[in-house]
Amino acid sequence: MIEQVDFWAIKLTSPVHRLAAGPKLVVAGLILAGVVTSRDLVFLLGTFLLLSGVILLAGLPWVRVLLAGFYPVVLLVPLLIAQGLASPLGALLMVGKAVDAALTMLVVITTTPYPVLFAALRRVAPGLLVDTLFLAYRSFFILLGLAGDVLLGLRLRGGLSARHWGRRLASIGQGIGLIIIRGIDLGEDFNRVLRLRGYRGQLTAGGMEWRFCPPELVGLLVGVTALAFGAEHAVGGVLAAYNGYWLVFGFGVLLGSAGFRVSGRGGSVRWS
Amino acid sequence: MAKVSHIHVPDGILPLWLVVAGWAVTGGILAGILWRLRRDPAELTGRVARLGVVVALMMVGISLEIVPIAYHFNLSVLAGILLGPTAGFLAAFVVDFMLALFGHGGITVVGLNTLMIGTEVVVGSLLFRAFSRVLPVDPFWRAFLATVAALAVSTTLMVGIVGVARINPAEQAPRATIAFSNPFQEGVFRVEVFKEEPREAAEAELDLSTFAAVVYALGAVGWVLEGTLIGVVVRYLSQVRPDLLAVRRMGP
Amino acid sequence: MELIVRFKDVKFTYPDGTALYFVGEELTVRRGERVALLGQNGSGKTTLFQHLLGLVRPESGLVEVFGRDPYRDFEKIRPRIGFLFQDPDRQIVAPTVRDDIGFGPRNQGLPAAEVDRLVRAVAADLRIEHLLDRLAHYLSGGEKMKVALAGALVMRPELLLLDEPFEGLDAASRVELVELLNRLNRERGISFIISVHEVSLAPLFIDTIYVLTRGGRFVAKGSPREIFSRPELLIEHRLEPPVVGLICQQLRARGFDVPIALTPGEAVEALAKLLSGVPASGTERPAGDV
Repeated sequence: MIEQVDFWAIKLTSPVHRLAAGPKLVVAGLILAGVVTSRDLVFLLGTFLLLSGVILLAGLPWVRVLLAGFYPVVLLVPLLIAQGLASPLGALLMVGKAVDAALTMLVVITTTPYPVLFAALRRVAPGLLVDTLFLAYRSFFILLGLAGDVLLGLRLRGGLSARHWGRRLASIGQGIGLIIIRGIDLGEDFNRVLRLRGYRGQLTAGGMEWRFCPPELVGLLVGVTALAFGAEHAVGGVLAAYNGYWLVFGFGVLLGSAGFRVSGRGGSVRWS
Repeated sequence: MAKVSHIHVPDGILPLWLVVAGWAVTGGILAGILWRLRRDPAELTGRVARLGVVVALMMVGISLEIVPIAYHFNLSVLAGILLGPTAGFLAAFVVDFMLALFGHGGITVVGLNTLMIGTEVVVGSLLFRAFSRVLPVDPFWRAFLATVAALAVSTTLMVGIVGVARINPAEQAPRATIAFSNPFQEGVFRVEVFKEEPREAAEAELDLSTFAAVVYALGAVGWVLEGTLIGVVVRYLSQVRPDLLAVRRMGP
Repeated sequence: MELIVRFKDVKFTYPDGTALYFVGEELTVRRGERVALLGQNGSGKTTLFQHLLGLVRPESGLVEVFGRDPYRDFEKIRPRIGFLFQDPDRQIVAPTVRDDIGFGPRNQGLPAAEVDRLVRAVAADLRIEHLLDRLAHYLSGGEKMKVALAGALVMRPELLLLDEPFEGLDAASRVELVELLNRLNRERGISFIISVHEVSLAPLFIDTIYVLTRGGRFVAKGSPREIFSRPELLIEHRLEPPVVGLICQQLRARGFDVPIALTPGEAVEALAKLLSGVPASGTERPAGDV
């Protein structure tokens, strides 16, 4: 999943990809805040349609990303079982919030290359944590390749299909142990390189992650509106009478994005 | 098949005060760890590199589907054994944050989820060290017991958090009415999409004992699986790179 | 010429108990000199580099780089040394190529504009400007090597340490790297120490070769001609002599008076002279017959 996400963020290009990372995070934060505080299923549905439209506009594989957005529903199963069918609307509310929140983050991560995203986080998070994120991401791809080789080796040599389950487990454990050792070696190599190159607590230079141009301002407006609708019950409940417009807006974005995609003007792959 | 040894709480389920409290506690712990690290720049460089790699290893572990058992395992206890409790807690936060970015577990509840994974890391690390000193058994069993115990503790913590939260979606009075109000005139056009009979709030309150039963039942399977895998890995490491398992404190 | 590296009688023991004792010759590098380390696996080439980079401390012996103990004073000599490890993937720490090349200058506290200028300059030098905004994990092996080398060269070092840089490169990339190293030496006077298995390339760009054997012992020092004139020395220490040299040696063993060639060009010259007056099997070989 991470490799796929990375590929989509780097190789695809679309109006969503071109938004600056910092404002994108702010917009996501506003939508998230609206989603988690909302009690309105219509608002949640409208947000779902809006996010689906953004996914289409970004040229992402729509079904795969939506399915990933539904993953949190699995985590809700114990809660839903425990709650029983006493409140179907309540259950739907939980599901709606979880899915909309997950989709919001997925839109950000699938349309923003990780160096830009993490660099934007440097304004709000300690440098050590951000650099750990960078090195973790960098190491992930190296180790994933290694893990693939180790598992392939195990498979070819029958380690994963040994008759005795104990033998099989031992093979898997050894394979994982080997990946860990190679990973630790990689960490020691990186440590050496960081020391040799005079690491002072900042891996990257950063750039234009926090620019605010008209497209970013439009996004911010949408985010503020989402927050207003989501939290409306906390501020007098006035906006509840207008949630239909949010639903129509979300549907409109979805239809418009679908039109863009079908016409070939939506997101496309940038090969370099 | 999702990992069942760890339950991440999604967004929007827990009350705001609890979410904020989670962030406050986690933030405080992280601040303390980072402050301690900054006092030694050489230590900082070493920690960044190893932390990054262990986080990557945990992400690789989550990404790998081990056929034929089709189980995504989490290396949280192993991270605690390799890094120690303090750096391990940092790793738990970074992993949880990265998972939340990818829609696995809520981004707003990273604070609380970190406390849960962090508990596994810290308890697992401390128990493994203690068992290494007092239990004259194969490293497999030390790691297995430490893992199962740590996961049981973190699951109990999670049940406790859900219990304290007193989740009751019906209390939030969810609405399913589409409304188009005209701001310039009287009248509202409404469509009631779904009507739910008003209930006593207590009827719809989450049954904690049922929730706990489900979580412990599902969790126990995962604990044994994960404990077994971690045990096998630790035994391998003890034969090939015992220095990685050496009991050590965070510091040069 | 100024001595910039001295490495003599160093003893070092690995955590697993394996000991290396670098005795036999003093390794010296003068300003502008191009040095190669030839040695079988386990001869300590990488460990030697680690000593020069101050990553490990010798139990005894002399290690000096620019007149300083690198283990103690690496901070003071860092900008003057560049390095290229065997696996460039493990050397690229930053997410994008631009970030990684600029990593060293940023750590030196240079202003952003100056960092950018240096990055662009070295990228142009190595012809990798088109890679600047790429992510490291999407680069090919050859591209990673160039990026790692760019990171090493960006601070315009005086000494370059390269640990088996030709491993994994195709033939064209190897030639490209040799030409680059020669150009850097010619234009900027950069000295380098390079460990190689690919002996056939050494005569093209090396002034002095040190041959190491298992355990770290230096068994020979000399120019490429001196070293490769003794193929039996190389074979004895599990190194493969250049093919052209082997051919010439075997011709000499059969009584033909040919010099030991280092390159195909020299071999052709030697053989052409030999063949111009010697018939094969008693008959004149027709012109153009190979």
